[in-house]
Amino acid sequence: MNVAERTVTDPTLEPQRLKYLTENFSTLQGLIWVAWGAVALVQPMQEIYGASWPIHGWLPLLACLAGFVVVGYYIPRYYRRRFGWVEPRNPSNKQVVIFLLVLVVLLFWGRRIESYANDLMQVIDSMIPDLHGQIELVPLVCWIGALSTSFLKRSHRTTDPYWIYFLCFGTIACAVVAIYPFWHPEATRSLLWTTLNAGSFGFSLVAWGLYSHFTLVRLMPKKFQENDGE
Amino acid sequence: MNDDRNTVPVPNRLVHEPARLAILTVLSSCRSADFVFLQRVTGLTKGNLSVQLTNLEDAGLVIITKEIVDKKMRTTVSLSKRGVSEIDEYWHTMDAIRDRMAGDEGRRRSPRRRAVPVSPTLSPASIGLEWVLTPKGAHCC
Repeated sequence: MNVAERTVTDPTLEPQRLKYLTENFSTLQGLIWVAWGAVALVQPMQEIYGASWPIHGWLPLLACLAGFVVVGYYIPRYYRRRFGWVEPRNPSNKQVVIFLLVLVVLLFWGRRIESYANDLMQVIDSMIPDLHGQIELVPLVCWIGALSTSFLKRSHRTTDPYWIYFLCFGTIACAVVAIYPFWHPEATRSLLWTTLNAGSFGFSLVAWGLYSHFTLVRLMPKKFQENDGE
Repeated sequence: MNDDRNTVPVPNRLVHEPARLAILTVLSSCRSADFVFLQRVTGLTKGNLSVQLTNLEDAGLVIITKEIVDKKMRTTVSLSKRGVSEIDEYWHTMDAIRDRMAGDEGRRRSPRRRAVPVSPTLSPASIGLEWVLTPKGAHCC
């Protein structure tokens, strides 16, 4: 078997996949986001379900502490043992410049941006009468932002073709939860909608984390191969 | 005297071997990686990966560091300066070959050029490079 035949049939050595996995190794460690999402769900669920929620009293604090321990120690240890360790490249000059620009803008014009954002939220709230700002819009904005920026990353779409479908599904799901009360105002009194709305941020983190983790598992070779070597 | 049109750039054979190219591609995308990650992402066996890393280290393309962490030996690999230049040169050579093949294909298909002597038919498979003909820029480092 010559080199061409061997490598054409061997997707594990595809340069694009190798490059994508290496550069995004830290962000693909999705179990971290799953743990953070679970921690983010504790407080909203306690407020909704009250005494019927099994985690109440001082247990939410304990759950948060457990989450920190899991995120800070056990999950990184798991990924290091199973997939190894990568030291990422230093940020490029372009990334450093963008970061500094954002920092300067926030330092000098942060108050003005905050007032504009509050005005915008008031306009949106005024469009939703009788809801008094109950709808959580931050997760939907995050999903829309991720979906918008995904079109700029051609290499990401090539290596992981399911990424765009996942973002579309997440955006639509968040939008449905946010927009549903427009047509059915009584939904705000239902336990299901209240749970989905209050936990949309936590659920989004959990979904994002699970997808990232299983993408990492899917893109890694399943079996080890022999090579003649030279 | 050879016509320059008939001369196909030849990639570095040390870099061109698939397993070593995979290792160098991974290392060119990060500052360093440990042995476990290289093994998992390339799918090579431990023995094969060790052999390839030794070959690359002997050629001066990678730097291998071994240290004890939590009572376990950790092997970390990074590209040397020569390795960075070699992998960059390799991909430039691949681009040149791809452009050359595209130019030859265009001359063969154009009826106006049939009267003009064309370079010998050279397909990527004939020199073991068929697998690198991914869309241009797909391998961009």
